[in-house]
Amino acid sequence: MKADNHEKVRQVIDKMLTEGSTLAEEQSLRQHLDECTACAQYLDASTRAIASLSGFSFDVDRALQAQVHASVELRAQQLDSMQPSRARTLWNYALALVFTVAGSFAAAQLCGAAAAFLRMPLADVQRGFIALWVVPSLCFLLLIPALPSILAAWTNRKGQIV
Amino acid sequence: MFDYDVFLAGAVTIETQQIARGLRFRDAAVLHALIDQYQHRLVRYLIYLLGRRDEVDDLVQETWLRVLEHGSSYDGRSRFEPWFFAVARNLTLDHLRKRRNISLDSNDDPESGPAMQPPVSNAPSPFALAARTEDAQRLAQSMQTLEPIYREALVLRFQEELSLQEIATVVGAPITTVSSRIQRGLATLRAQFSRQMGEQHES
Repeated sequence: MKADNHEKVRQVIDKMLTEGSTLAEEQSLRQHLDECTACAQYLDASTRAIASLSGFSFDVDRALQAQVHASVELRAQQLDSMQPSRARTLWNYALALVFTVAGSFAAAQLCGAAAAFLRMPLADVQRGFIALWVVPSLCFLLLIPALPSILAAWTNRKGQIV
Repeated sequence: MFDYDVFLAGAVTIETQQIARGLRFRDAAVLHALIDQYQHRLVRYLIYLLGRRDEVDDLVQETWLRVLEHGSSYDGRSRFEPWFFAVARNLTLDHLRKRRNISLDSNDDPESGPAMQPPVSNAPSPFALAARTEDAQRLAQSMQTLEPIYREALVLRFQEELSLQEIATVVGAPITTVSSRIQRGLATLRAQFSRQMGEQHES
């Protein structure tokens, strides 16, 4: 590195302080700094500025600390109480299952009447009933136990962009 | 031969995994330990970000509540600090946007964003109040007038000792932008000492 190439040297100093430097860069920098007072001062001023940042000491209020602990504790309790219990989830699931089966059974009774009304073969109406009623109902039913995990995953995704 | 770096990396992983597990299950002991460990650093980061003290207490509290509520999004695969400071940063930006009623769409670019510019306060500079050394006192004025994005880059790099990649994660900007922010911030602070050194040299 030539002694008159101050600008380049200062870029190396900036890079070294910001993101580190290679051994070769450090060696050539040292050679230059031995000969160049201006660049040595530049490095001194930079390191002094960085060191000065440690000279700021921001007090943390003890009352704030206690307040944060208390509010976090309270919020954690609130969140826990909002979580549905396992027994309640199972009960909801059983209830949904009963409604789905009963609803499907009741609706199946109407297939004959629907076929007569629409003047369609009974087998076609039954197939349509299975495809449009029974299968979606069962799929939705299967989703119920997975709902808490799905909601948690959705909340997490939101949490990353908070 | 004993590889200290590998050992250290392993130790860090265990620690971050413990934090992640604690946050996922809202473990009170983990949360309280985190508050004790990071409160001072959070206060410092928010002061660097806002350039004022009066709104920091509310934001500190809000940040911890958000950590509690969204803690399960921290996976423990990387250090806790970048995730934590990103939460605090986004909360602060939300807060500033709400205050100034600025459209979210107009602030996608943080470099141009007035959202990072907190409203002017008549309160004494937190940097002047916090300066404990002669050099810090010399820098206090420059710190107060420095753009928040540069102050933020400086505190994350030189006080929190985050890597450029980690800072990029926190601020949501490319590494080159982060590097240039640090260098521009440093240039402003260096000017204080360069002038003094130049005067000493001349005399």
